[in-house]
Amino acid sequence: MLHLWPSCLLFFAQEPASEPTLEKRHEELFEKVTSSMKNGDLGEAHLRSVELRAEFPRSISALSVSSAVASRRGQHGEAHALMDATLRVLPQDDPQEPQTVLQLATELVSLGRTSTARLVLQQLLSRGAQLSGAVAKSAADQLARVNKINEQQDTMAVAFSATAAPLPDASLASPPKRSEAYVNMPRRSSFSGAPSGRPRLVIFVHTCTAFERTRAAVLQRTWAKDRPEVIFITDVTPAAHPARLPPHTPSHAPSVPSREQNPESELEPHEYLGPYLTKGSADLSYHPVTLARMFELYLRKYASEADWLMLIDDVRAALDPTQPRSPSPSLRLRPSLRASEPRPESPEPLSCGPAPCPARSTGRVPLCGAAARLSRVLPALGAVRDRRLPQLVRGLPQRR
Amino acid sequence: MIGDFLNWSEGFRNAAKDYSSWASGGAGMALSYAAVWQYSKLINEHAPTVAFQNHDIWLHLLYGRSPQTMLRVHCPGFHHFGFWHLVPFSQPWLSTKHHNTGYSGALERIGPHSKTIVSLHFCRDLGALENFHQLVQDGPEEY
Repeated sequence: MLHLWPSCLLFFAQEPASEPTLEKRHEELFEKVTSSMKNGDLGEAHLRSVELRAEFPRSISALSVSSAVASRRGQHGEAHALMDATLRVLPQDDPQEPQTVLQLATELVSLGRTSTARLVLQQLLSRGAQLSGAVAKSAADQLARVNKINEQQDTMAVAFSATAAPLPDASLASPPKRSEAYVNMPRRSSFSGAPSGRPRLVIFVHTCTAFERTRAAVLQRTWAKDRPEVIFITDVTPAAHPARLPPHTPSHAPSVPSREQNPESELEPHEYLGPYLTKGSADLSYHPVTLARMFELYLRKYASEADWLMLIDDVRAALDPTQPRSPSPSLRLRPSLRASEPRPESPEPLSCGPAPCPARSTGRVPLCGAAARLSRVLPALGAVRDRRLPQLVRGLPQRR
Repeated sequence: MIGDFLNWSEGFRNAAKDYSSWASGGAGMALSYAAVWQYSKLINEHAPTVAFQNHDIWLHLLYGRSPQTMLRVHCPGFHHFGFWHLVPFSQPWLSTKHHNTGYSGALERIGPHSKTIVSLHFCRDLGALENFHQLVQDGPEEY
């Protein structure tokens, strides 16, 4: 991968290269990163890349080599984000910019981000005569390769926007598509504002039908018992209840399904946001569409009563032994939220919904569950509002 | 937005304490009303051009498109790994089996009643939760 970082990447988007000291320092740090990568010391390479980005946050080579380091470490999400940032700081008037974009597209392919690479290459090729022949030919070859890969990966989503170059006319001819992860936001005027006093919390515990008895029910009769602020987000297994499946949510109106569509759930209180969503073998436990639906549900139904939303799922639990086991006086969302009697556990099924539960199907961290003692943390922060939060993190490293 | 990322992965990221790589929380995160509103606007505006990733990375990418008026607060009380000594009757081997348990360190001095712990990830061993719940019901004992 190191061969992808030629000297043409060593320029800065905003900092002029005429500063010899800066350039030397940049070169020195960059060399540390690359040499660490060559030596296989990815931890050191990561640290040095962080240092490089800290000193040269707008450096294209810093961002791109950091992306390479992240990729080598298996942090593909981070690599993707860094690549996104890289493309955003590319100076459009630099003569080397098309070549750099082409190399970054090649790197995207090596990262497995073929949809993004295709978008970048399409945008690059849309410049037409502005491109040199060699770059145009290479981009076209690369695009053909990407298209071939994409034919085998028809589930890949269109990725982030990349450069400022316009899309081809054919793409502009159709109206912009709305993502499935769309939040139907209520009118701002309909929200009278969070009530004053102690901050109040609503906790969405994400679960699925397959784990209701073995996970969510355990939470319900232990930690969530007598906690009215806990709302279970359930689904229904299509195989078990084919007739109850809601119609496919059209991309232009992904509204929150009606709760009445899932009377099978024994969890109380619960909300139904549609079937468990995943994306093939991708590691999606909270699918972005589910997340958007949770946001919509909160804004539409709970925001007037709870000014904080916590999202967790069903294998995380709180340590809150000192919390009184009575309904919280600060949040009474429902009148009768007593947990049901404990039910005998059954062996955990092997799948969650139509696709394997990501927490099981991947080697990555199981992203299931969380529950909170946050209701105790928030009051400790005082009358928490966003404008006061900066005081709470004073002294923490600032995000760059 | 309150969340944890440093405990999310037991690898290099923990050692680096790299806030610039912080996504948006692991299995647990909390958002103010304003943050939910802001994120909803970001979703509606940018989701068509952001690839679907796991939720934390997806939110992280959206955050990168934002004017960054949201504040992301690291809360080290969300634990994924290295806490099994905090959970009596749990199964440390499960953690060893699935994850590197190298991250424990200072947590050994934190008891199950500590107010500094927000939540624990039980790695699907909900039996540990029941045992723990039974234990702590005997009465609070602050550490």
